Amino acid sequence: MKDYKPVIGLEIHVELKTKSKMFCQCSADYFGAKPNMHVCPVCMGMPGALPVPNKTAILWMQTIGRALGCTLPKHSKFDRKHYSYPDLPKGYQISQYDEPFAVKGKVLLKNPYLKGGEKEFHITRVHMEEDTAKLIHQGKDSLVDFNRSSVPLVEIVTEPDFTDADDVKAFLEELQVIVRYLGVSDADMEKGSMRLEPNISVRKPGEVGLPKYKVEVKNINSFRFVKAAIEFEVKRQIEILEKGELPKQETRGYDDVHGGTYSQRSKEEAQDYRYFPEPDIPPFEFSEKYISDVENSLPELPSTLLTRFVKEYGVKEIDAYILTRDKKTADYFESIVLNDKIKKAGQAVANVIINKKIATSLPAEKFIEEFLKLGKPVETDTALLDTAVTTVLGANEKAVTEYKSGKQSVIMFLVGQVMKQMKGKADASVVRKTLEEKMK
Amino acid sequence: MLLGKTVKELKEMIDKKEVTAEEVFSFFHERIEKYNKTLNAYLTVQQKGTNTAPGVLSGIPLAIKDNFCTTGVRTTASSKVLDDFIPQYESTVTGHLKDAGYELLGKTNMDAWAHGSSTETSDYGATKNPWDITRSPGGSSGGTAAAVSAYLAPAGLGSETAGSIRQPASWSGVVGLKPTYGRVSRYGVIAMGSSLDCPGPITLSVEDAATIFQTIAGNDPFDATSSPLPTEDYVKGMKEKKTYTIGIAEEYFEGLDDDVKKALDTSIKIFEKLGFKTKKVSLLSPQYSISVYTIIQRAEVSSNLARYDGIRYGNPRTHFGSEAKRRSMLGTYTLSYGYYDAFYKKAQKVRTLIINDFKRAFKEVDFIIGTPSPITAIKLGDFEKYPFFGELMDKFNEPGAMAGIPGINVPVGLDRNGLPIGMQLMANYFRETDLLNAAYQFEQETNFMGVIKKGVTNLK
Amino acid sequence: MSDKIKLSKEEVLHLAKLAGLTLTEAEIEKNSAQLAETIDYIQNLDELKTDGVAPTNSVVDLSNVTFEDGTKNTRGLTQVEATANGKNVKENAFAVDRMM
Repeated sequence: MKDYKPVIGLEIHVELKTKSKMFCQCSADYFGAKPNMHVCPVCMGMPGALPVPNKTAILWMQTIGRALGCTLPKHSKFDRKHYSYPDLPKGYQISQYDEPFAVKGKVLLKNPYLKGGEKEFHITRVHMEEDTAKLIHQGKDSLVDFNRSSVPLVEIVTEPDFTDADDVKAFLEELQVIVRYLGVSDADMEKGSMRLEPNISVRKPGEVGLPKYKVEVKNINSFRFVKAAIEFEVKRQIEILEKGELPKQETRGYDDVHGGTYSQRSKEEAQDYRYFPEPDIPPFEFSEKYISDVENSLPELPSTLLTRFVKEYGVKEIDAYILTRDKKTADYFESIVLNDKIKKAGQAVANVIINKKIATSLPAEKFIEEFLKLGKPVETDTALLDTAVTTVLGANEKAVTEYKSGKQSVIMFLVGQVMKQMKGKADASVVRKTLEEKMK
Repeated sequence: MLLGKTVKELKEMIDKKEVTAEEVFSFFHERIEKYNKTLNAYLTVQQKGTNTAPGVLSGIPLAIKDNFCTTGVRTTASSKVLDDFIPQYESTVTGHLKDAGYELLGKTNMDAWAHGSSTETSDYGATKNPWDITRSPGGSSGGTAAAVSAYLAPAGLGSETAGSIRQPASWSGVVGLKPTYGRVSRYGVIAMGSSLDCPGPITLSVEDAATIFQTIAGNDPFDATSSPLPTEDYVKGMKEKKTYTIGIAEEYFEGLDDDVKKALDTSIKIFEKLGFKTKKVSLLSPQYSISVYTIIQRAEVSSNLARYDGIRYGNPRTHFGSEAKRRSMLGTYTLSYGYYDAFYKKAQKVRTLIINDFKRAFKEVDFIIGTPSPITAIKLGDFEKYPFFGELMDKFNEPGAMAGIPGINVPVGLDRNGLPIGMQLMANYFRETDLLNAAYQFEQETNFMGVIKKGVTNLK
Repeated sequence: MSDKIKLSKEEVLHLAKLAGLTLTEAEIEKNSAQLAETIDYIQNLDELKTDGVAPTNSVVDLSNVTFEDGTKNTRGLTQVEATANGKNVKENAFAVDRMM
């Protein structure tokens, strides 16, 4: 792949988990509901029905925008975006065109697994829109279910800053963590509450500026496929460029069964969305106070926490990274470390949490108690242990079989039995290790 | 005994038990059975009243334009696309009427999707003008206007985008009030031009207009563009003796038929006699409003018609008539890539100029006087000759509609062919009480030159 | 802008496609002529200076109109009501020709 340089920009959709839909009071919780149960004239695009925006959805969207370092403009509005598809009941989607709720941000990616360490990626805009209905393909039919229609959807658009699939994946993971920190979305790719559409092109050796074409890839519905889809597409484009040709500007779909992309729509059929300001919704004016309130409501974000954990508690960067992947663990960690009895033994606490030596489901006081006990390691009598393990394995054949057939969780039961035999005078992790050895 | 009675009079008779609500309903039902074949004013007729809610309109049957969604009652907007559409929800406005006890008499004919000023673009045939059945009753609320004029209903609802209440009220010789945009909810009213649409009453008297307006006006949490300002007591407010300054703008007297011009001159003299002052004002030429209106309305039409795909309700898009296609095509053109700034955005800027122009004028005067239509009712078939004749004919209504200000039509006489002439007053935002007040004084003074009284006897 | 607008058949067909309309040959011809005539007319707006004038998107003096999340839903339709007007309803969903 010598001097070819992929140029990748992302469009990411995140579905908000508000109680109501974006423009009506129907429940936004469509997952698993029977078809067309959470609907009303508004989200079904019935004649004369009118949209009224959900206040919380807008606030949450702005929160995401701020978390991604965006500016929140004082003036904003909704627009109609027109195209025709059975899942779009009004024949237009209420979206935002030239005055989105958030613009121009950047995300500093601190990920020790990332090649080259820290990286910064630029956000073009974040805007608010509504989701479409769901199509279920069945035989000769596609069945339309409007439960998902008009669920709040946030679109995040990045600059074409990415040059490889690993960066894209790392960025997406960080975005997922951020959105979950904010508590505004499950951001689950498998469930469809987070969706990625990369725009991919490849810069030829010596070429400056952006390539003259780009290919949008749709239907990447799992983290597993992000890398595969991008790498496939980059390879495909380089092969075309190698032949001295220019790849077609088009929209392609990712086929997870065959692992490749296929053409969906070419430039000639490119859409003309005929945007115009949504006349059913008056514009938005945000005061400075409102905007600073959004700012102040932000929790400490994972990258900030990571830096702080390293600096203040002396945790290794890689461990701080792991601890900050979800807010609950990070907060738990900090509540322990800040306890006087612990004396800021950050790295030791981190080790215990990361290696799951003590469950983080325990109340902090209990955790601390256990942790302090750990300070005095239990000496394990290996001869006694061997006997105990043999006895327990012999008496629990069913559990052993289950374990061997893949039900790994059974081990905890066995550990418990051995510990009982040993009257608690053994290190549980040593017990576990011994059990595992014996059952190989 | 009942012929020609206003809503107020019928209500009094019902309250005094001189007549029952059932008798009132049957009276109108029988008239519809007898005369609707001639007029084609109703598309769907209800067989009996079912509403038991007590209220200011209990026992009063009304004609409702067929673009108001009514639960369980076919609603077509006069288009075959919605030929068999039965809404499972109620428009906010008809909901208010229901709460006030009204009876739905039937759904009235209109230009399909409200696209027109003659009721001829209806997929169910044109409505005839009761004053001369070879002529149009105007439109798009022609069905309601004709029904009220011929007393196939004591009053009804129309809706306006630009002139669709005032112009048919003018051609049919009845009262028509177009409220301030946002004063009356649009929820459940089949959208034409979303930034313009406004429901309003068509009646035999100013007081009836005030009563119905009172019932339907107010903030609606389901319409984000509806005003949160409190409503007023319109009936009481309209009866306080007040004098106003009427603005006369030359631009609104250009190209008038001679008889219409004469009737307006007479009207001005009557207002002067009532103690009103008159003052010359200058306004932007309505010529520009025709363009602004054509661009914005058709753009919104093309968008609002996009939902009719025949999947969730109604028939496929092949059922659209030629006028809907024509408007969608132009709207699509002006919104499409590369043309937006030149047309839509430019029009929205000129719209700002029109608004500023009215605001300036209303610093000097209370009303602008004019007519909803430069001519009286035309022969059926004459509209089809021009691609946007409707928009041209409504030029005196378009500037006010673009600005969103209210206006009222009242009859002021008959022309040489015995056809009604309409006069309109336009006022500043939310000045409906004043509009009704002036119209009421005019009615007290003139009894509308006997036009309405004669109108209800046109069919017999 | 040019003086006399002319629309080719392709342009008319493109617009029709965007608008989701199928036009007959006669309608294509009629629309092409009428569109051109109307476009010619509405260009009179160029006579008005609008430099520095803000466009009016909404005549109502309102902003930030919203509803509170989780407000009671009073307009929900039952599955039966929701699908009552559908012409091709299967398994409580609206069936269309397969899209993929």
